[in-house]
Amino acid sequence: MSDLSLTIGGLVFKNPVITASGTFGYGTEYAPYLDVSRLGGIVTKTITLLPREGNPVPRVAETPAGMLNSIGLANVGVDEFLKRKLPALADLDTRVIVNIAGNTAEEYAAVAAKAGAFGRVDAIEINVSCPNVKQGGLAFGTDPEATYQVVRAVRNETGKVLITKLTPNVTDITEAARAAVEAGSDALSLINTVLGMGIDITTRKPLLARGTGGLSGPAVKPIAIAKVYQAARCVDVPIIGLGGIRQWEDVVEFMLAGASAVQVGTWNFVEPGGAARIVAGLEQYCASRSLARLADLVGTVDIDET
Amino acid sequence: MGCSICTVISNKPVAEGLYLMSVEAPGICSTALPGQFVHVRTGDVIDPLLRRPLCINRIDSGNGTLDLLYRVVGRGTAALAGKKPRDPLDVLGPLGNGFTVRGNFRNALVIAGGMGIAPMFFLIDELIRTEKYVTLLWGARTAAELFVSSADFAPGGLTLHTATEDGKAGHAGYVTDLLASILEQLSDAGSARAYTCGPVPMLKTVQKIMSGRGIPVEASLEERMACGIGVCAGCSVNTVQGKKLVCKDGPVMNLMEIVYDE
Ligand SMILES: Cc1cc2nc3c(=O)[nH]c(=O)nc-3n(C[C@H](O)[C@H](O)[C@H](O)COP(=O)(O)OP(=O)(O)OC[C@H]3O[C@@H](n4cnc5c(N)ncnc54)[C@H](O)[C@@H]3O)c2cc1C
Ligand SMILES: Cc1cc2nc3c(=O)[nH]c(=O)nc-3n(C[C@H](O)[C@H](O)[C@H](O)COP(=O)(O)O)c2cc1C
Ligand code: FES
Repeated sequence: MSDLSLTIGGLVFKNPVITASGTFGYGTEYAPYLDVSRLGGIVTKTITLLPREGNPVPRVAETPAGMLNSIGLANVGVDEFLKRKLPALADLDTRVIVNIAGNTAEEYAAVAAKAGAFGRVDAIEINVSCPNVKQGGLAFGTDPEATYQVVRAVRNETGKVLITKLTPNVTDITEAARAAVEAGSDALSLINTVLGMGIDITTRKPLLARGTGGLSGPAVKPIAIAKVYQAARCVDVPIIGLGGIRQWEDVVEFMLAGASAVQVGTWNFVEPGGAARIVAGLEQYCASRSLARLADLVGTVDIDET
Repeated sequence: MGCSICTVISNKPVAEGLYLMSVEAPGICSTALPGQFVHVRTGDVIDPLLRRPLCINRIDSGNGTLDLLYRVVGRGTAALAGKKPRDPLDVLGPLGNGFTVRGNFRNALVIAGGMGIAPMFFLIDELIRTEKYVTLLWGARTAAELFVSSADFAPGGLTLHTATEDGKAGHAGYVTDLLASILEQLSDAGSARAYTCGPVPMLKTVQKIMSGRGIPVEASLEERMACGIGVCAGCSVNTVQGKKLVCKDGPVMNLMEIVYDE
């Protein structure tokens, strides 16, 4: 058996396939379709201090090989999550990562402190990259100084492994990447959705009620690969790559670009259980190539430096 | 609830742009309730990417087949129209909740407009099976779209009233024009339930006409969907109890509790 494992901030993941925030609910919804314990980890929907109902509909729309969403971080709030959703994950043999957001750095810290008090929470992913809320979210992620402040505030509250989730909606992703690492982030995940918009030419209405939203799915994969490649070359912490992954070949591609692990997002909607099939595909890939350690692939893209 | 590769048995137009597809899906048929839907991948491709939600139109439990009745409105439904017998079809379901069929009532009033007829054949079959008196108010664009008659249901069970926008069959106009007078004729309104599905303007009208009558009204709702199983939070609908998800808390909901903005 080949070794698919990897380590982030001292935390061992048995394989690199994690499900992405907002596309896997609170961890149990897809249980009828796949053995969640097959996965390296799961990331919860973004959790905020207070419950949120989200934006008006339509808040999802299809685009070529992708989709737009403007859900607006609809979630049950941290107290309800910890009381009613987290206990259901107790017996899963997979890493549980809680994704958090807030309107201020203090709010991020408050959510992290609450979630960090639970043993079942293995790591915290800091969402500074949601394009669908007025305050917080993207406003933090596009400003390296604000990114630093948020990560720092969370770092001061919890000893849990911290992953900072970055936005692709910047000119130079390495600035935010460095800021997050300097503030104490153990790893980076990228990309969150790409700012996008579509318009119905008959009704002249935008496809999403809110106008703009976040693009995801296979359409964004080349953007994500480039950002991972850029970020991996400038920081020393592990990178979790995501954006458009739907098959094991995509995982290998992200690893070559510099990702140590990956997340599967939109594809869960298309193929419930697809994330587990990707794990099986990676196992077969390693076996057929007699690859002892999948992690040996990380960052080995063969590119001529000029 | 499951995700499976089923087999297309037949797929034919029943009127212009309106198709009826029969799919072999014994697993789904064995548990499906009227009002539930399936989430269908229109091909093994990444474009179009998302599944398409479709109501379960009718079930033949003996043969383990289910029917889908759909209008071709875009790329996904066009791809479905191209399916041939024996083609595989990736079907997720049955999803959502169903209509209330059981209970101590005698009269069932079914109000369907346009594609809103899609979930109603399965419902009517079940209502007749449980010995309810069913009245169907069916509105369509054209006479050709009224492609089944009461003879296609168990004998004696169904009274049919139709309306067409082109005036070529039944009442000329909307099906909701008929609703008030049908309600007057209801012998025992205290023992009635109503079921409806159709475009939002129609549902709003039904809500208005039915308000204050004490007849429970269940509506099958539509909203843009990605996951279909309550994960993405895309398909939200405003109700008097706050936002709910059409795919998980519906698609069948109490019409009187839906909040439509003006
Ligand atoms: C629970 C439910 C049950 C449905 N049952 C039926 C049925 O039995 N028969 C039928 O003909 N139609 C039904 N619809 C509508 C059907 O899903 C759409 O007509 C279909 O998705 C259109 O896909 P398209 O690719 O042809 O159109 P496009 O316009 O190209 O689709 C683009 C995107 O918009 C979505 N979309 C477009 N129209 C609708 C719509 N009215 N409702 C929800 N999403 C939409 C598509 O799913 C896709 O993601 C149902 C919708 C829901 C929510
Ligand atoms: C419907 C939907 C909801 C999402 N919600 C969140 C969220 O709450 N928090 C977050 O950090 N990312 C969220 N995302 C972004 C995804 O986690 C992921 O970063 C992005 O979709 C790119 O990956 P993909 O192409 O594999 O989907 C959401 C994406 C989608 C499609
Ligand atoms: S379609 Fe995803 S929650 Fe309803």
